[in-house]
Amino acid sequence: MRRLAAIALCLLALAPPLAAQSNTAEMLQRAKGLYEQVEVEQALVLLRQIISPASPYVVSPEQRVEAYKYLGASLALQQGQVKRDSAVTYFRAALERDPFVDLEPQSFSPGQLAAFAEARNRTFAAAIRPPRLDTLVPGTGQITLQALTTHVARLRVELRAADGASRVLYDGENDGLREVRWDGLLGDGALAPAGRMELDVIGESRLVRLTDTATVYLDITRLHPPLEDTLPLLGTGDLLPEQYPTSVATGNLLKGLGVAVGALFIQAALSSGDLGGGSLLLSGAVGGAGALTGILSFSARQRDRGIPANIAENARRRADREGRNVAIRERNAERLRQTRLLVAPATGGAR
Amino acid sequence: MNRATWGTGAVLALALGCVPAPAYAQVGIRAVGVVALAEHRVNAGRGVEQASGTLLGAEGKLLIGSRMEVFVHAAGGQLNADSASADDRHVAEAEVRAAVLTVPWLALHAGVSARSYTTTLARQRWIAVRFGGEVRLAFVGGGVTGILRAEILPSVAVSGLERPNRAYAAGAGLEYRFGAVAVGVRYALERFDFPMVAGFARAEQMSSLTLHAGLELGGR
Repeated sequence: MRRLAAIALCLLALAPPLAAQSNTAEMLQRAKGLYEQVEVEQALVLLRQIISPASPYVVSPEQRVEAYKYLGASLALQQGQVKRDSAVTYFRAALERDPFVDLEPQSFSPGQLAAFAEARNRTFAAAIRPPRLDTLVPGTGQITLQALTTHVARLRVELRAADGASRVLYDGENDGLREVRWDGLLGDGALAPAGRMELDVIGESRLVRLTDTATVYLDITRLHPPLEDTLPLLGTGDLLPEQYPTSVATGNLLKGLGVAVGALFIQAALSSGDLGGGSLLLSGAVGGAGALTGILSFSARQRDRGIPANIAENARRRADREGRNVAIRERNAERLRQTRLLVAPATGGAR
Repeated sequence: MNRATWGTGAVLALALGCVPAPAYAQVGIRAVGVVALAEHRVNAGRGVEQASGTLLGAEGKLLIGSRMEVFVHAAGGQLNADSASADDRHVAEAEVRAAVLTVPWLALHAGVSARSYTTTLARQRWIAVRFGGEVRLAFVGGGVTGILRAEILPSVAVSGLERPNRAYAAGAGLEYRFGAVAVGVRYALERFDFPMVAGFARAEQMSSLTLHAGLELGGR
């Protein structure tokens, strides 16, 4: 029951604005009907009600722009400079709220178009339309973006990534609507990064000393097959030691001395005393060789502790890893070459 | 030979027999020529007779897998009398032994050796059963191995003599490897103490300094 009650309350809370917007839409529709039937005075009444601050109904920005547009158009049909000036004023109000507002030449008279043109000349705004959700193949495909200045101006349209990379899509003279195309690449030829991008327009009027800017945000998503991770750097556990510990030199010395002592021990202690012992010449030769080998080995290991076999094996492992990473990078590059960009108008605030 | 000596030998022989053959053996071979400066001393009751000379020979080693070896040795040469009571003699010797590496630095072996001393008057033959161990001290970072060897000879048969009641051998040496080339030097001593006969105990000893050089292919 509580849940039902909550839902009912929500519906009640939502109902009045919906009804109000609906009323505004009906009024706007009726005003347009009266305008088309050349019942201009009656149309003006309804349109003024819509834009009035005292209007009891919610008026959306689009409805307000439409009301101003038809107010201007209705007044432009009437005789007199005052009416025309008012028409221009209402057209300007519409343009200030939506620079993209326009009069279709086939639906409006030359006088109305002239008043609207004057309004455009006296009002300066630069604007950009958020793009529609679209995908493109970078480099070959294109999406179209619409920028506008209300009258003759220098226009610059620039796309910026979060990391500072940018692409100027247009920089030059402009009057009215301009369609610019973007192929998904940045100024340096790189693919646009995934994430949020900023699309800026800067207009510098040639008629009045005004500059206007506008910004919309795009969310870029890269669509491509999943990429492989490259192999991590080889850690200490993956590599063989490339140097002998310092104890190795001492160990070699002790081994050489051990052989020397062993030879002399055999000759001195294990030979028969009854036979006069053993020959020191014979054992001494091996003893000397053992001691010399130990000393030389000790010295060699002190000078050069490198382990050539391990160094070569580690180099082979590093080369193997690099080779596999090169292959992975090539496969990833191939997958990235298949990348398509999903371009969507941003929702939420700028990141 | 006493029972303890035989017991030790039996244990070594058993250890050799229990070594499993490798499933597929990596076989290597070593063949070297040897030159030995040998010295023979004997006291048979007429004072110490000493003779020395050079022996020439060859050795071969078959390396089976990482744990087994078969070693053969043959050498011969002339020993010249160094003392007045000694005679010149010709020596010929041969040995075969099998070894197992219980760990990379310790080889236990068993074998048989034969030697003959030939003088102008007579020929004396020696046959010995040998059990022993060899410690191999590999020098790190180079192809050098130090060797310390000890053997007991539990059964020695000498023509015309009683069996010695104590016989052993020991040695120390170095082996150097330069790729497939193997060279080495070793000192070895064999000692035989005979039982007392007619109030005198015969003693005999053979020592040698051996140089060898050759090739080792395959194996470890």
